[in-house]
Amino acid sequence: MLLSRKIKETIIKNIFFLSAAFSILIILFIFYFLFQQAFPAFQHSGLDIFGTNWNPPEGKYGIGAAIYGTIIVTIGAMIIAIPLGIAGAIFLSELAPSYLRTTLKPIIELLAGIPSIVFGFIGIILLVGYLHLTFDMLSGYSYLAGALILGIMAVPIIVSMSDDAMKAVPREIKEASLALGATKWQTIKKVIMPTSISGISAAVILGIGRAVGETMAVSLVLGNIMKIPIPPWNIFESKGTTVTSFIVTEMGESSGLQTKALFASAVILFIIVAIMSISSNILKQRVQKKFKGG
Amino acid sequence: MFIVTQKEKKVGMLIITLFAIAILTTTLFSGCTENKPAGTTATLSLGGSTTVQPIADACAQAFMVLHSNITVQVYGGGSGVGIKGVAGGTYDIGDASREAKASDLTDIQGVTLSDLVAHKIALDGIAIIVSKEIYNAGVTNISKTQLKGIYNRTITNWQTLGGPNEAIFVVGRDTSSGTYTSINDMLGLNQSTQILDVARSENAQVKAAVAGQNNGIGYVGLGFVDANTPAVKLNGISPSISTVTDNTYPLSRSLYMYTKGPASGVEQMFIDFVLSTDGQKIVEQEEFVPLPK
Repeated sequence: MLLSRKIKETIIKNIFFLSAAFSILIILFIFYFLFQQAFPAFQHSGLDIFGTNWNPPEGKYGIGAAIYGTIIVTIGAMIIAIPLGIAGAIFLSELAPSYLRTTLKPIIELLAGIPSIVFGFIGIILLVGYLHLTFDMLSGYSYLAGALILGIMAVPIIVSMSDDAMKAVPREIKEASLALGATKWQTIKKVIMPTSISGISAAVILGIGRAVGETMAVSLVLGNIMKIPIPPWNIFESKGTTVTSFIVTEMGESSGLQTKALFASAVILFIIVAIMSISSNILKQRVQKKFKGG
Repeated sequence: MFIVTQKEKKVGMLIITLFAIAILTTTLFSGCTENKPAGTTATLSLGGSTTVQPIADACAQAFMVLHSNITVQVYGGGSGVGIKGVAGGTYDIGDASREAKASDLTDIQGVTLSDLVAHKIALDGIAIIVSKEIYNAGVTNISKTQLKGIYNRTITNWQTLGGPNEAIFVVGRDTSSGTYTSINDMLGLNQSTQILDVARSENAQVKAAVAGQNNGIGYVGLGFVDANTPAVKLNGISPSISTVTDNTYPLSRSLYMYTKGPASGVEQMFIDFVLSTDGQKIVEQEEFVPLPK
């Protein structure tokens, strides 16, 4: 009986180990494949790959404009999503009456599950035309449209995860604050927000992650031209692209070094996302330490 | 008894996991190696025009499935490279999106234009579509020079072309597209002078972008013209299969495969395949116009 239990345990342990090893293996394969495919482009272009000159017939493969576009669209999306998301979470977890909460929460979670192509489709049908007419833009295709779509897509993630984090704040702490005579707003600002800040920052980082990696929705509403608008902060200009959007637009018929250059942009995206997720972990640990100490 | 069945289940899962890993590993690694069919008896190399390249690539894939003992390699480089390559012996077949000129052969010793044989394999015709509002406002015919002006941004307002006072919204294709290259060739533009507002990766998306605005112009394959995105006439000639076939439409041209001397052996087999019903179907799939029967 004891023996069979032991055997059972070893087997289970090994299965879990294999599952863990499997996902690491996949990451390693992706890593290897990406770098192997991208290497010729890095070899060909060197640091010029970060430049802004994309001209395949002349052998120029600079994807700097796409990296710039990814950054600007992500910043724009976060300017929209962070205030909306956190405010929504505060309302849901602290202010909403319970009947409203029980109806709103599932709806918001449903919103997070809508496929990105649907957002892109709505963007191209409604948003682009609306922007074109409202802002008297040459066309609605722009960083602005991309940032709006991505911001809206990130809101439900931030709301839902931040709400979970705020709900996880122990009842006693909240009640202690209220019992000391603090108002509801003071309690939210001084007690609930600081205690749940690690969960909220995790939510924001996940939202940013979605914005950086999102492909279909943005590729539909951007111009997909490998150029930095003039001036660079002109978010109404249609010239511009993001790394993901450029890869999906150009991959179809590309061949030779051009394909390799697209793989190189994927490598750069991979590195950006890796740096972000590592720094988010460091940030999270720091925040946690700070609040444990204080 | 119960424990044993549990264990069996786990062992089963373990085996499945191992299997999955094994399959993944083998497929990934086999994907990395070049798969040259064993027992290759002949090779054929094609090179030249990047416009013809998608046709050559797709035909080569299909051809190699039919003839597993023949390896076909396709290279790009441009029409000039293709004509020089076939004359100099680098390629068996040279792809070109224009007719060969004597100046292509100045570097090649002992080969004259009459040694090269042109095989017309497909037609290339591009329609220029505009937003309905623009067409209805009276812009139904533009000249090829005006079109070039729109795409290199010397003309930026529809008023110049007799339309409303609206900025021109210029839609085109992604830089890896054959149609993008065709437009550059036909209008005498290049990567830095074809200045687009929006690049799309499919004909249908170009059409949607032009239809969705009231100030757009774009270029698509002949099959994508309809009432929502009317095609304008170029130099007074409307785009159609017949105007492309007889080469009167300004944005039309023939695509060629050149051989040195009459095609023979494997070259002949390949060109015959491109000209066959299956080959011409591939031409159509790659968004070019098949040869009239």
